[in-house]
Amino acid sequence: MALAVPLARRVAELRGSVAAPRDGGDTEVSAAAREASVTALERGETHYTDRPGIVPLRQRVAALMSERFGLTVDAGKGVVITCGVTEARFVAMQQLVPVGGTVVALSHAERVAGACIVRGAGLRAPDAAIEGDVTVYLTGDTPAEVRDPWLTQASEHGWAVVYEPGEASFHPAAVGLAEHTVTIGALGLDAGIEAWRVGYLAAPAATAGPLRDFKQALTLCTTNLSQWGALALLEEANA
Amino acid sequence: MTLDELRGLDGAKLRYALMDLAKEVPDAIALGRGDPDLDTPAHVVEAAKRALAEPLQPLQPVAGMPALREAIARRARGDHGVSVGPEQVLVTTGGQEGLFLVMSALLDPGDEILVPDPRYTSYDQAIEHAGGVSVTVPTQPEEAFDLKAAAIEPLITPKTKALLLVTPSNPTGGIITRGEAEKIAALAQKHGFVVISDEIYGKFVWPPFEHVSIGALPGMREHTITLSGFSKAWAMTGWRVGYVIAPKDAIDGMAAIKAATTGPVANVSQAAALAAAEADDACIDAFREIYAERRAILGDGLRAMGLDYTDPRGGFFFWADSSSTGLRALELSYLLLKEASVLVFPGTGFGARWSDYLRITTLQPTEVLREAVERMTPVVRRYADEAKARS
Repeated sequence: MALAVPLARRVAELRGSVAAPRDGGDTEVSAAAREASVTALERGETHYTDRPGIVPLRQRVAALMSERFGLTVDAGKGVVITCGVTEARFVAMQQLVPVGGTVVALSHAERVAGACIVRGAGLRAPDAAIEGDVTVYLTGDTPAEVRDPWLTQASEHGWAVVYEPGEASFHPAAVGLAEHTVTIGALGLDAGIEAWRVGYLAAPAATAGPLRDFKQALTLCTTNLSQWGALALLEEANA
Repeated sequence: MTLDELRGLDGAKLRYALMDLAKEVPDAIALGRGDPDLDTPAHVVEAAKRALAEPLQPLQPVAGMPALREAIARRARGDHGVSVGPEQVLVTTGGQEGLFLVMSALLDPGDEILVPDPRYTSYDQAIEHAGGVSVTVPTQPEEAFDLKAAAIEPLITPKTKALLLVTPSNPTGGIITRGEAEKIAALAQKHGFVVISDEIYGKFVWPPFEHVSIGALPGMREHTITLSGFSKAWAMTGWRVGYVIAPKDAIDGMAAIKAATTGPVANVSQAAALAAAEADDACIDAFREIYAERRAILGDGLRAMGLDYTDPRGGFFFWADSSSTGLRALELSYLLLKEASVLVFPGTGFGARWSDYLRITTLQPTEVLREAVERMTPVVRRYADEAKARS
């Protein structure tokens, strides 16, 4: 039995275009994360959190941006805790890219393909001919010879940049793009908690406001106890 | 934020601005957000702890943990009266993501969707994002804000792809009666549209009324998408687990979108939801008794302070008329926060037309609710007296 009306056209485009999440789960869950989550449960952390996330986790993410990249990010207005990096990518693409706009993915285009389809945006490879404004998506392992010319153009034209650093030490802020860059990532991938679904968006406060609003409209907030587990990991790493 | 600044806001932005303002008020009593204050049942928490103890925790499939999809399908018969298989269930990151996925999977730009007025405005954001066009269906105080087929029929056009039915309604507490559900079902089948039935508050319908799932009516399975979740019935808002029930092709389409939006729901949350779904409803029955007592306390209090309302037939909210105070609901909300340290939401948080209504929740312990009523009463009466003196 099928639904009595046709599905939206974007559904047909999405089928087969979206990479399945990797299996994960081959790393043992961090004891610190587990203990922190159990403790959170025992003190009743089962309700909605603030929509951008619990304050201490936002503060730790802001501190991480400072320690790793020398970035100043407002923990109160510039950080949003998301349901994994998947939601961070999706929220960034829906809010930064205009309907019908263009995204140039310098690497790992499959990670943002679905978000572009939902947005009705074109997804282009870096060697394609591009006209007009674009949003640039890159990752920490984008080769410098691909990355640098595009960041120069982004700086010249004021384009938005979505950056997923992974373990890299580089940040587009190094070439003057701090005000144009939304930094996204997962928390706890190397500590066995990918399935807890915690990620982040970090951006200048003016950019982060609409990101926060859209995240609220999409999922309200990120799983409460997962956030406390992720916080324990960051604190342990910082100790 | 000042009152003038609040006047420039509506919908979710207004609600969140008021919540932010309330954080600055010492000892404020929050009767705004729909977050049950009750604890998640102990058997659910224990199941989560067992899941957390697993050394390896791989990602679950995007559509949801198979055992949870099966458990929800089994529950669908009791909770919604519909017989479905697990392939007709999608587990979502709360009901909120469910409604986003439904709108994204259903609406092409220009498609019309009939929506009740007033309503929780997150629907609007999801509809707008998909490019759909909201067509509002009025509900009336003299009809207890129940959605009526007679109000829907004149608004149906060739572009109508769906009707949003929220029963019980947030914010009004209105419901769909069996007779009206049958009329709406006939309209859906005659005109070929789908009913999106949001039943997240369906466990809390107050006697003598009953919860009716339109998807259980004859001929409605291919015309219905049902939205629900664990947040309200099991006091699990922070776990973020909802679900969608629909024909398999629609579920597969929504799962394809979900892979791009958030991926799988947190596995510990799904383990907790599985424990909730597999147990009996004893904890919900206990919650219902608690909410019934609170409903009586708040209803009596509002009546005593002179705020008019229609008895909510379901859900956690009172939808009260502020006009006796001579103030718009936004002004009264602001003054109640400043002068009584009580947060309530103005009606414009749920639709532009509702500037004379307040949404007030019952989601605080009885002694806190009594305290809120005590604080609100002199403020409301004073403004009502001033309004009388002026008239």
